[in-house]
Amino acid sequence: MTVSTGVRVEDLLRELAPRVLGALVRRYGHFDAAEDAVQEALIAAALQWPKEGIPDSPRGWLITVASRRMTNQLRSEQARRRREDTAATQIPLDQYLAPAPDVARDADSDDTLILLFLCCHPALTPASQIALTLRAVGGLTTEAIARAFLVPEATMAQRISRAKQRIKASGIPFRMPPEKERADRLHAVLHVLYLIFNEGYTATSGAALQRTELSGEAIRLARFVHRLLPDNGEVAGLLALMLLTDARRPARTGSDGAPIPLAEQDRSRWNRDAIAEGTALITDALARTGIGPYRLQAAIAAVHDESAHADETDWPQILALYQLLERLTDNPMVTLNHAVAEAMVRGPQAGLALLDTVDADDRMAQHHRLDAVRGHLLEMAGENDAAIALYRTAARRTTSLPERRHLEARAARLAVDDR
Amino acid sequence: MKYIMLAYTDPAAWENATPEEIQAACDFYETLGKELMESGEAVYNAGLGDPSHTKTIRKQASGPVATDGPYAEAKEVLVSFGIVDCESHDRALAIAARVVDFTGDTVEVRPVMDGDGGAEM
Repeated sequence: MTVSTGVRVEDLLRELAPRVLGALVRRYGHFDAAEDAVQEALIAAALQWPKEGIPDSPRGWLITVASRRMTNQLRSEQARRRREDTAATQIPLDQYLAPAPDVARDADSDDTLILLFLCCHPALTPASQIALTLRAVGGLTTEAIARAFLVPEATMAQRISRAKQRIKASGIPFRMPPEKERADRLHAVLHVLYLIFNEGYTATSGAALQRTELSGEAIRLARFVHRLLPDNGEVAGLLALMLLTDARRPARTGSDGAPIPLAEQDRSRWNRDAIAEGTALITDALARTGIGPYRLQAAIAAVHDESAHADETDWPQILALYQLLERLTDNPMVTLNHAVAEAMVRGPQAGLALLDTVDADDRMAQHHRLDAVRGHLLEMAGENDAAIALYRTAARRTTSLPERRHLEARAARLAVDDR
Repeated sequence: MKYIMLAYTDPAAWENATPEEIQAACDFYETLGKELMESGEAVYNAGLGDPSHTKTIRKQASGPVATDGPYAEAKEVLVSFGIVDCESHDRALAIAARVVDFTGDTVEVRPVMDGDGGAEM
């Protein structure tokens, strides 16, 4: 087996995973059992194909192997199943009569979208949505997901199995959500992809290295959804936001893993191709579809990414975008960023006045980022002692080690300047 | 978010526990462990050996030096610890409260630092 065959097999399997699962669920129902069977078939293929070569019809091979496992499993459980009240989870007859799995690719794509809706169902907790999406749609093994989230494999397996039980118990059907629910459900899907991206993006070093693959996976899934729904502005916005943010990855952490603020990053290390792709996407989305929260965040990221130097940043434009964003969302984190933009355009006092408006927000109580931003604006205002105290409070409050080091360094730097 | 829970107990009470009490505590932890495994929150947990086995290593002028103890007269000793990965701080406190309620131990709950860098400013 050559390295390239290995990579090719893995990519191919990940690509096929949701399509094979969709085909199985259409044929047999039982999402939970089908998902287990597909995972087993993927593992079998990952062992066999690199040695024996990729079969002529990889998808057919996977469906055959997974179907065999599934029918065996279902047969052995039949007696038990008969005793169970399965009324709520029975697949409607017309789905048994759905076309055989080896039909057009369009059905496959729809299946993948339906799977995403299912895995990101609001009945599940965010942790379960993420785990199930990565396994059922992303085709990752439980072991890989557990490693990325730094929990034992048994714990992750349990999260996935609970999520599937929950879906089964809720009787959620394997079909597109009704039209009137679709916008909300799509929003839930995008939010899960956003969370997966952030899990990977904030990872910095050591054990975290495997986590960075999560951002790549989130981008891959967002690309997929964008291909299926090219006219949806928020989908395009999310994909653009991910690309424009991920473009800065090479410059955003120092060799010690400490985060480097945007203003201090070496911009020559940003990924130009990702910036070009993200900028084109968001420009097109804004022109064709108007605004939305992900589109606005992408537009802000694009403005940052377009500036060759931090001093050249078009802050008035960023401020205007944050003002719009704040009207669309009720999120105090947006206000924090808005306050920074306000300070850059109208001076630190204007930014500080805006920060005062989130003090009373319960969601920000004890939050280190409020202290960190206030410290930053006070530093801009020349109130160094107050800034140092806030950086230190923020350093104590964060649970991120690299961030803690960064905040302590800022406090120390100011303290030295003060002498 | 991961949290560590450190359970402390009165060494005299531990010493004088009846076999039934010890059995009840074991059953409680087994049930709790199972629940946390099933909820997908368990990361690791363990009970600790008798405090008489404890050595404490401190840095002195000559370098690290090991001494016995902490001693039995200590008011509370560490008796077990666990790490959970759960949705919220409140959830971690609720798990700890169950331990406290059943065992009477004192439980300290603290977030575990992670290696992630947080969002950009």
